[in-house]
Amino acid sequence: MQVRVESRPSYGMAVVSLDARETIVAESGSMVAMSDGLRVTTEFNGTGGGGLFDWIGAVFVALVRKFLAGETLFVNHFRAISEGQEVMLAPAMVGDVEQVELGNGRKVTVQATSFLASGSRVVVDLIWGGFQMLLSKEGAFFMRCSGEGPLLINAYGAIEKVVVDGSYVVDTGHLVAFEGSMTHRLKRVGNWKSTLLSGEGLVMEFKGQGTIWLQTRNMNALVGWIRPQLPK
Amino acid sequence: MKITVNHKPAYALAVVDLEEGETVVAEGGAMVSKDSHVGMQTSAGKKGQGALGGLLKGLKRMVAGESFFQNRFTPEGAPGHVTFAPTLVGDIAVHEMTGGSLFLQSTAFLCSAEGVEVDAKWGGAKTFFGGEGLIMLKATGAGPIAFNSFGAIREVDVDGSFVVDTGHIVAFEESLTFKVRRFGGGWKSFFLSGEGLVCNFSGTGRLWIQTRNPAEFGRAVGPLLPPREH
Repeated sequence: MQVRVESRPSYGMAVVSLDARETIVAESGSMVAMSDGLRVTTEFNGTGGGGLFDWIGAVFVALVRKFLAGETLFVNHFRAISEGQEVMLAPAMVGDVEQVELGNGRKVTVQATSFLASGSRVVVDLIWGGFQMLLSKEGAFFMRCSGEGPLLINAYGAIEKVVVDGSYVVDTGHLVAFEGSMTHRLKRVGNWKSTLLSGEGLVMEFKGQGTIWLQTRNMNALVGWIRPQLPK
Repeated sequence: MKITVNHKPAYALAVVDLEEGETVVAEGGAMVSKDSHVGMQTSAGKKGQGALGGLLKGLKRMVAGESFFQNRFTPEGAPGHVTFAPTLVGDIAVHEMTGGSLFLQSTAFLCSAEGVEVDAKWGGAKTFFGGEGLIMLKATGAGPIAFNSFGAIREVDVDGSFVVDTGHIVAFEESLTFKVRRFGGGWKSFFLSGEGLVCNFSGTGRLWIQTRNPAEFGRAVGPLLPPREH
């Protein structure tokens, strides 16, 4: 399997080349184009750990997401049935796509809305970010990715990589993904006055060593700008 | 203080490196990330201005289209960094102020050194920035200031006379004088040319223009959206 990302950073699109029997798993609705030697099946994402309980949980969550957030956790599996197949994948928003290579025990946790695709040997577990995450307006779910192979993540805006050694704070609206070896917790920024008046909302504090992927624009800020433009 | 801009021009991000105890002042809501040991304080005015002074500052800023409160970031115990991003897709420019003044379009301010004072200023009786508001921002003092645009930013060094559509102005040095006037020869081109008001700059100094006009974008997109729910 080979992945290359074109048209970066504004209109990032992943072009995935597959040999026979290789599979790429992609977020529903992300396919742009594909060659004709591929078989497509639709599954729930995030059932990596694989017990019945996890499966039921994933179905429930997928349905809740579909009806409440207008977004699904369904994925399409593209399996090549002959040599030299190709799939092109793109996210809904304008912005970048980045490939992260997993293996040797590396874990990367992705904000659910930033998951684009993964190789079939990447194990994806759905993580509930906790009730606190519901307060932050951004996704309350994460995909914890481990195993081996390529992982593709997408962002609104460009992707800024920050290598952390110690402790680092990120606005939840700008978080894309983080290395699973780090611990994280939601907190307020500054004192109570700042929490209420700074316009910064909730932030996430990371501790440990690893990379954090940030997006340089924020969907909620965009919505806030567009709302006054709506006709009365 | 060092301000680096990454991901120009569409998705520009300002990365501010600070020495221990150094402070950067930023527009509310602009922070993307920071080192944990960089502290944040929220206020309307500067330290020592008092509550009333702060209130007036904040109100003036709000009238100009900026946030009432501003955030001050200061690393404690070691150097540190903070990153900032504007709301819209677009660029960031950094200018090192050395005592002169800089005029900014009302929503253009992103962040600056504490030695730079940013104040709202009445643009004059004529609608200075077309539909963008009568008020502009005036930055004075010394140190770096970062401002943002809609679209890419193009620097123009004016020497003589230069004409810019009012909706495309981001910032200009005080050494330039300006006059707002109708575009083209007569009322026909004013109404039909699609250009409306333009700004005539003269003198010697630097001007920053943006390659898109947010008001025009809003007018293009707005009518296609469903009406607001009440």
